[in-house]
Amino acid sequence: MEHFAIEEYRYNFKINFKSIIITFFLSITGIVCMGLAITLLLQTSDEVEKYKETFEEKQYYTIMDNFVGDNESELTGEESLICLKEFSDLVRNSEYFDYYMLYDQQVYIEDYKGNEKNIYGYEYSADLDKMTKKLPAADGSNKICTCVKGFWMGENVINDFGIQIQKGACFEQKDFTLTTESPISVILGSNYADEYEMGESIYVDFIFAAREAKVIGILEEGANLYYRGKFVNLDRCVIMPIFLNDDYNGQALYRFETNHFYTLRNSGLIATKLSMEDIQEIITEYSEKAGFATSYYVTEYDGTSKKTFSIGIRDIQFLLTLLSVLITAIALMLLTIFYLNKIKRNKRYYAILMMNGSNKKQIYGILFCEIVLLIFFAYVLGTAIVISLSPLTGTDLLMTAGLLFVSSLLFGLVPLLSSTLVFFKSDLVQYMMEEI
Amino acid sequence: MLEVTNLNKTYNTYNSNVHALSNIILTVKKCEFVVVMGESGCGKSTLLNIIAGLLAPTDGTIVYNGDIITGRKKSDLQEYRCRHVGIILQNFSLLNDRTVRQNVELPLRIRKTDKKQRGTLVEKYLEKVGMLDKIDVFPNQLSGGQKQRVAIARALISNPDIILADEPTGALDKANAEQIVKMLREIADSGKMVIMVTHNMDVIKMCDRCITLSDGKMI
Repeated sequence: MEHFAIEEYRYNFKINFKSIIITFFLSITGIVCMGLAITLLLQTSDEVEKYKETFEEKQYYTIMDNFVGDNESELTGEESLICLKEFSDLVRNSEYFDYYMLYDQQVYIEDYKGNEKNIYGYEYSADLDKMTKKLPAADGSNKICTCVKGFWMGENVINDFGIQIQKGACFEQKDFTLTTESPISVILGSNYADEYEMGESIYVDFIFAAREAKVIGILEEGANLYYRGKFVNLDRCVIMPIFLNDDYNGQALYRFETNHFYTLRNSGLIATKLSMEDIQEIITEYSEKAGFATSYYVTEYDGTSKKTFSIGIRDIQFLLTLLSVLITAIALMLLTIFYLNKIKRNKRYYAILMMNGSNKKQIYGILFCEIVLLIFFAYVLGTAIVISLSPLTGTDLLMTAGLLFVSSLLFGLVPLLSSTLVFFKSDLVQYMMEEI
Repeated sequence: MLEVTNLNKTYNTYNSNVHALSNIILTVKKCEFVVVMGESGCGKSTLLNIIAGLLAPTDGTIVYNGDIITGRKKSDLQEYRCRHVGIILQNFSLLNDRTVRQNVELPLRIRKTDKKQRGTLVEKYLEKVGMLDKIDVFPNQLSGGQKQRVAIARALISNPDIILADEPTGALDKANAEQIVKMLREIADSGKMVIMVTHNMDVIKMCDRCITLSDGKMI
């Protein structure tokens, strides 16, 4: 036999369908926002602190060179190697700032078998056919090579910027030495995970030569890098080490190769608490010391975006948390008011139930049933919604379900307790007398 | 048997005391149809509320089948109403969003009566009041007289011993009113105690006894 409260709930559901739907969506909104607020508050403070220390307490500047037009000879001239090396040593060992060798440049891969989304220019709807060309292969022939997005990184970039590796290993010191005796170590973005194996050999073409490389790691999905004022997603990138040597096992690199590598080494990222003016002074000084007639210069990270979005991740986190809490509070308040008013609105209904033999406990069962079933179904649907969005948010499913369960309990308690209190304080006999 | 002895009810207002009922003495037996008459404000409904256990008297007692009703806890009074009292009101007190069937079976659902038995009883009582053909209709599709019959069926279905009717014909025309009173007469004859509050003089000829109240006193 069906319980009286549940039976009444079924009757009332059909009658009060609209208001039940509204309270249902209020509940889902409140539960999901409360879960989000709890998630944001529980976020590992270490990660946030590290992020704050890395990205918010320091300024970041990019070193740019001026070796164009008449100044190109400074890069390609006889004495240029000495100057480039001197400058490189100065910036890498500077006491005024942390220096990260970091350069965004594409590479070519022979017999590319990855996704077309990784091809350079995909995001600009470029003609992808133009991104393949025949290049000299290791065996002397010309092979079809595909241009893909690449990022060249120095020794400390992956660790200091918190880039996570899902499989394999990070670069080691030896990986920053280019040698003919061993393949280049490369790390691939997560988009390559299905097509390329750990330890797999691939041929990477740059500076007109095919070089054997070995996949030593795959980045975690969603790995990103704060580069030139914005976050750059690395899922589609091939991560190359910026080599530190000027020779191959004692044999000097070709001039072009050398100059190219110094372009990578000397156009990196400065992290400092000093102002841009101060840093520019220092870089100019280093340029002069290195023997350049024209100097390197620094640019501030995408000034436009900084002015537009001059808030850091902590601020965004704070705003999101505040918004979530606000929405939760409003939803909770509306729901609680709804149920408190429901008791008054249902006076006649309760009076008729009492007249026909119902007691207060039985009538309370109807109210209790409605609130609990509402919160339960809101929890189920809220969890389904959040889980379906988890590929975008990257949240752990079990944790999501758990957090939402907790937030459902908390969210449901307020209207339940308050309406219970009001209900048992109400004199239903008085309602009966008013009906009479 | 229902015995009302020296019943008083006084309301304490800001600047005076209002004696709603003074020294009411009343005995009602099974199969009796008692009418309580009087002008508006004479205390008829107050008497009914006290007999129903909804209001506590200031003084006096009500004894039902040897059990004292007055002075009991709210839960005991609710139990007394649930088991022994059926209430019929002027405004019918039907749930407008439920069908006739759902309204009449309400007391049985509250008492957790088996579904099959509920169905049987609902049809039986609706047939008794001549409303079986309207079993799946909503109250707003019924006339006043029809609504009151449904209310009577609902009041009877839990087999109470006492039927309290507060102006049951107040919203009805003469013909319907007569039918309702006739029905209450039949209910009394079937072994129940019927106490009806009214100021309709035409009802007197159907009742066993008529009590008149004036300013809370029996005259």
